[in-house]
Amino acid sequence: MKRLICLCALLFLAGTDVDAVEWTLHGAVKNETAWFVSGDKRFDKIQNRLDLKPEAVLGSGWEFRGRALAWYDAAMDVNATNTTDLTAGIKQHYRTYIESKEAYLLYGADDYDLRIGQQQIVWGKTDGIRMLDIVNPLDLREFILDDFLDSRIGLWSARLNYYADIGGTEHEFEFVAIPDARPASFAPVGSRWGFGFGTAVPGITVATLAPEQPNWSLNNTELGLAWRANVAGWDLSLNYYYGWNDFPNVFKQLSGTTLSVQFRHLRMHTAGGSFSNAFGAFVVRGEVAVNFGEGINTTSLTWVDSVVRRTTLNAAIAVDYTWSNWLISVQLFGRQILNEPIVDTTIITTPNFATLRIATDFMNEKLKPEVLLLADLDDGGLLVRPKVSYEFSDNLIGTMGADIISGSGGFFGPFASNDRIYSEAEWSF
Amino acid sequence: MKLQKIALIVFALSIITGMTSVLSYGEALTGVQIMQRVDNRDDGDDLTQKIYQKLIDRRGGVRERFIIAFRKDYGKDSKSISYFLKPANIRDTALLTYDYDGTARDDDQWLYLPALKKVRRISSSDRGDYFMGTDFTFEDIKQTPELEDYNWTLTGSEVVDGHDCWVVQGVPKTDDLKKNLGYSKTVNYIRKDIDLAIRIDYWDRKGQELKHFHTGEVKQIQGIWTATKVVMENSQTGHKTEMVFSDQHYNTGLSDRKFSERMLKRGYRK
Repeated sequence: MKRLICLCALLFLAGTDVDAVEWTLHGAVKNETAWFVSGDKRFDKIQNRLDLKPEAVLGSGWEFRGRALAWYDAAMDVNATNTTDLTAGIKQHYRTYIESKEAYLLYGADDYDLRIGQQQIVWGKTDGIRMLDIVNPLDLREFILDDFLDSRIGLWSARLNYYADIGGTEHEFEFVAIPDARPASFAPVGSRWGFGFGTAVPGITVATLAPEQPNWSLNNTELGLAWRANVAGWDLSLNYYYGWNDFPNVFKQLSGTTLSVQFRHLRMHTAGGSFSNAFGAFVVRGEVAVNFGEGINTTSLTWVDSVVRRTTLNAAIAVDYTWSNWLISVQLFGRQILNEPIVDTTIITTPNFATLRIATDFMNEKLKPEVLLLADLDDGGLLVRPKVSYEFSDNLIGTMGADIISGSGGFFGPFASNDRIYSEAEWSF
Repeated sequence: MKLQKIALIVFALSIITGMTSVLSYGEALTGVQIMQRVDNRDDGDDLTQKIYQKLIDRRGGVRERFIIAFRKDYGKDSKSISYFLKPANIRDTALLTYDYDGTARDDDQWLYLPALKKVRRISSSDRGDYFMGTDFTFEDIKQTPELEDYNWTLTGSEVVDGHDCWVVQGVPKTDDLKKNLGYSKTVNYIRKDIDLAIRIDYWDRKGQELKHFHTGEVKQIQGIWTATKVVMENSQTGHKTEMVFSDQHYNTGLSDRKFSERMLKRGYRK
């Protein structure tokens, strides 16, 4: 299928009048350097990035838009190899990166837009924690610290956005089909940003079976529908998605002294919506996503019960307050397993979150300091992200910041020894 | 009798002549009437134009912005959409504004941030906020200020750049408005021949001299008087913003669909 789409795209490009095609190339060269200031103090990364955004106006309403990202991380050669968090395999994972992030054809008609190819499709109104923004999986090589634009994995898909004037208001109807079903990509187990999967129990041997994960096929196709409109001043959306959970469930079976473990991704239906509106200096925004048949891990040790399917309600509300050039933004994220038995201590839940972002600027927006706090309300973990960026010129921006992580368990606990300071220098063209 | 008739005719003529001279020099107009003339000035039903912004700091450091902007009037309301084309780090950032006449309803504004791939509803209540690092506030970049925000007083006439101008002082009606707009007073120099502000002086909320707006070039394009070069200089910070407007096209019948979230996300490609 992927080859078929590529072939169609090539045939299309071959059929266009080459002289009439207008190509442009934008992008950036960027260095991202981070140093761990807790735990084993060393470089986290010395990434030298090339970010290319080729585009073409092909004529007759057609355009091509693409983005490719590549880097070499010198930290993997500067840091000494060890047998724990910087093995040769982990270094190989982090040393180089080359990925196409987007590569799609866009046809813009008067009342519809059609996009075919590799895309990032972004839903929802909130930032940082993804509830409705579930279409593209993430590359979690840096936990959740990388920009979503960089960590989203582009999926080969077809998207039709149809616009209709109903009662003087423009209504948008979106249809998405994604045969390129892919799960999230995790940092290697054992690395500083790798998720831990429990502690070893003496006398128990763990046998990890090959994971079951979706791949490119017609049967695995993910489907999405959305409606958007501005109704009585409110920006509203309704969304439906039939897709694969980006995160695997952990199926377990204890037989004697052997614990068999298998990661499996499950399909589920998601229905929800989003809203936003402005009230004076305040903007209120939020979203709701109900997952039907979401896999929930339990502490049971049988194939049948170690994962159960439940309906989960995920909701977020956010308020942005703007005063002069100050922005204060608060978000609350809640999650509830709806048909959970009243007493079932075996269910492993995921936490609720709160975020606070304060941002401002000085010197006619040359100097931009901000701080972002992300709190795990159940386990007390905290991520604090102060940073300041300075625009040296139209093309050159420098940034310095820190990621400070605390917590003894829950979402942030595994990374509490990964506090880091970083610098970024980006030259864009 | 004959003398009486002549006297009446002379009297009538003197009234007509006097009225004509009052109308032509506008000395009988009040400050608010002059500002209404500015507000009612023909600026086309829709406009497409390119904008070059040059942001110059006190040390002479220069930043440049290239924008394409579209505006369409809906009676006294209007909609506008602006796309940042250059530099690369803000390329595809776009702002959509529904500008409602009067102060009863805040404008609606949406900002597309390519780094998030999201359209953000943003508050437009703080009209004294500065626009994208320039020396223009969101209120300044409108064609004319909301007339009902200010008490307007005609203080006289003055020649500016060789043009006879009314001098109209605007003072925000309330302290809240002073805070919101960021000004305690403005003095507007309005060209009498074309009802266009060619110079505006601003004082900050504390009454200190703040900044100066100056129109460098005015041209008639498709019969509509159009400022093609303007400068705003902040006398407190030494920062200056120059704007050059070009490729104006009035009354092309822009589609309503141009002013939508869809177009914010799609970006502008020629």
